[in-house]
Amino acid sequence: MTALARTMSNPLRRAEVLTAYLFLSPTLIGFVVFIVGPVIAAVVLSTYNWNMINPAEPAGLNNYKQLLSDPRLGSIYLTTFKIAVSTVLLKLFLGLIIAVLLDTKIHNWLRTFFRLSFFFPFVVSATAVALIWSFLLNKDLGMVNWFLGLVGIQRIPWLNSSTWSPLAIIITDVWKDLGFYVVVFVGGLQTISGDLYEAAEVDGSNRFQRFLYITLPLLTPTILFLSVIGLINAVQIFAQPWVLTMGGPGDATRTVVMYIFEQGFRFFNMGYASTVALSLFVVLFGLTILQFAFSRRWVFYQ
Amino acid sequence: MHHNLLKRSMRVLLVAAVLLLGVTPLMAHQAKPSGTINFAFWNYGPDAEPGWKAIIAEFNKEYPDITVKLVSATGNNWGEYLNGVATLIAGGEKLDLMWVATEGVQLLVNQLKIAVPLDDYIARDKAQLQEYLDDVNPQLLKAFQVNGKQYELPYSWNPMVIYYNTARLKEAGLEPPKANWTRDEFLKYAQALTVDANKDGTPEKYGYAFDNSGVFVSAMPWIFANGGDIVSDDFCKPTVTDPKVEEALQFMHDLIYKYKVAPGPTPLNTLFQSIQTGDVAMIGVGRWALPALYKAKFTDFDIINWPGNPNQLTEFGIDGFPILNTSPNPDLAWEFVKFMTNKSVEERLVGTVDSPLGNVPARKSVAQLMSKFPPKNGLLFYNVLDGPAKLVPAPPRFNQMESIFIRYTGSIFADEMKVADAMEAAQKELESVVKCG
Repeated sequence: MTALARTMSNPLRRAEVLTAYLFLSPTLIGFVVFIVGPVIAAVVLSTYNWNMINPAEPAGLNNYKQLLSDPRLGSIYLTTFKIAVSTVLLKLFLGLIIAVLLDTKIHNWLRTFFRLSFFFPFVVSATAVALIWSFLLNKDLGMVNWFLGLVGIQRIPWLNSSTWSPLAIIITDVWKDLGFYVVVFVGGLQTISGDLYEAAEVDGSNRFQRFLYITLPLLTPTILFLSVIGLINAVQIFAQPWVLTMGGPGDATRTVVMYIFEQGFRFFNMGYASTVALSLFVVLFGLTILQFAFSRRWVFYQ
Repeated sequence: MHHNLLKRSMRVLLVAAVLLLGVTPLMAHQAKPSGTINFAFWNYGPDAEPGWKAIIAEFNKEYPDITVKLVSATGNNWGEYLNGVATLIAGGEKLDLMWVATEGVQLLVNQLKIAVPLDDYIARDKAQLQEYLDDVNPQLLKAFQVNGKQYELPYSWNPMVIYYNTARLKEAGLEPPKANWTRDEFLKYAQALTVDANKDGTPEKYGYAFDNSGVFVSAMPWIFANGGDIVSDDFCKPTVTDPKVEEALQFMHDLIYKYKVAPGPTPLNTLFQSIQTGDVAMIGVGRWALPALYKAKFTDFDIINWPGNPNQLTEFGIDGFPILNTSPNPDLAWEFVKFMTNKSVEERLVGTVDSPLGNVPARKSVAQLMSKFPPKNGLLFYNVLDGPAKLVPAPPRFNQMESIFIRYTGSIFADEMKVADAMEAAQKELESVVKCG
């Protein structure tokens, strides 16, 4: 008798298994309806032309041909990755430093205050954040340039320049999500046993050596987690460029998700939008596999 | 026998006739319109829904049995709202009516073919509507005619005019601009109103500022001032390489980089603050700036016609309520459309003492009420129609056209692309979007 048959023939075991599925069902149903379903729909739609109002017409592989010959898509992907990689690296770097600083001997209430302050922007709506920043970053009427002017720096066209606008997006995005990285790193730091530090101190190491040879290697799983999740999220950035620059000037801050939205809901090209969305899925999937493959070289598990 | 049969049939016929005559008025009396209509409206802000609920409450006083269900769609401008409605329709929402502006007329009528021509309804109820039709400027009525058929009755509209801060003008020792001022005179004003007190090359206060987030508010008024347009009159091809268009864009670019009288493109909502603080002395906008200025109790401003180069041509956009052919109750929807032409409804557009709204009513008699509110020259909002005026260009694929056009003008105003190169590239992209057949 197979294990399954044994389980199903035993009424108690059967009840246990069914209960398990019952508890899992909300998540499973949600997953199927909101994730698997739309993905399948996107795959199917990518072979049609559909403007949402008239019935869809089959288009074969035309959308894929268009994908490969789209003059704007290449630079849009490049822009997206420039922004995404910059934000993830900055968040990792700054998040780690702040987490380590928060781990030092400071008053508990001070530590709590800083943790709250850093985490607070993370829970605020991205659109609200971007709206406020759009006021601050206005070249001639905003406060950031006013402060820069006080130290003699010329007004920077934050929201209206191919050079500076991506930086504006990066700044607002890092400001918003940094708290999450800090909190995760703080959690990661807690898992490092104090004995290791004590032993190292006894051996005559200084603060920096302890950070480099104990903290950093033992944090590599956390760094891997954050870089995988971070990159997947960062590549899909939408709210900040939408509110701050609407993708401009030209396509300088247009991200892939913005392009998908534009094709689908501005140009009513749902078929092509689905195709671009699928390409993004493939790209992200490939990147994630690469990250995990390389992780064996630098991630150290205790 | 035969004689009796005839008598009997006559009696039956007589009874039937009497019954019919008696019952018919009864039936007519009972045929009060009843049912539900779904009405999509632009939910542009917190005042939108309560405003419509109030109008529907008034409608229900006259037609208590018609339920008007509000369906909300959001958006930063008419174009974005249109996307929202298209998405609703695609999602299966059965709409009877929607609130639609110029930007959507061609799409609904010619591309999607879901708008119902109103001519038969208008002819049937001519007696009731004549007073309204006489009260509305013919240019507004014509704006909703496609292929000779009337698809909407004008409800509210907006022209683009120049607002100026009167205190700043006084400060600079300038007289208020004349109604027929030219673009060259405008430039002189803008230069006189730009202040660089510490002479460091960057002004502290600007003479003029504009927004590049949409076609209506940014380049069109200047292109019209040149006598140009970005699409042909039949909407069959783009015309952005026309020298009149390119010159207008060059002028706007030069305002920022050559004459330095304007900051980079700034959202209108920010400019509503800037004109109050005096950071910017002149902005171009329609009547919808009024609520923000009125709530802040700001009165140091007035309006004037858009300058001509040299001939003036005011840009305007207008909205109303097309009945959709997916409606199971077009007659009910028509009752609502007629109701919206009433004076009392349009008076709400002008606003109440607590809250002036932001559109210009289609009825001239009601528009006179605008004089209750600032600015002093407020009646100009309607009276621009005494001179030449032109609708914002709205081919069927308006959203696509706008998306492409402002992408390129954005590069021009960021000083990253030359006007000629930008418009050449725009023309190519627009050709696949603005075409006939």
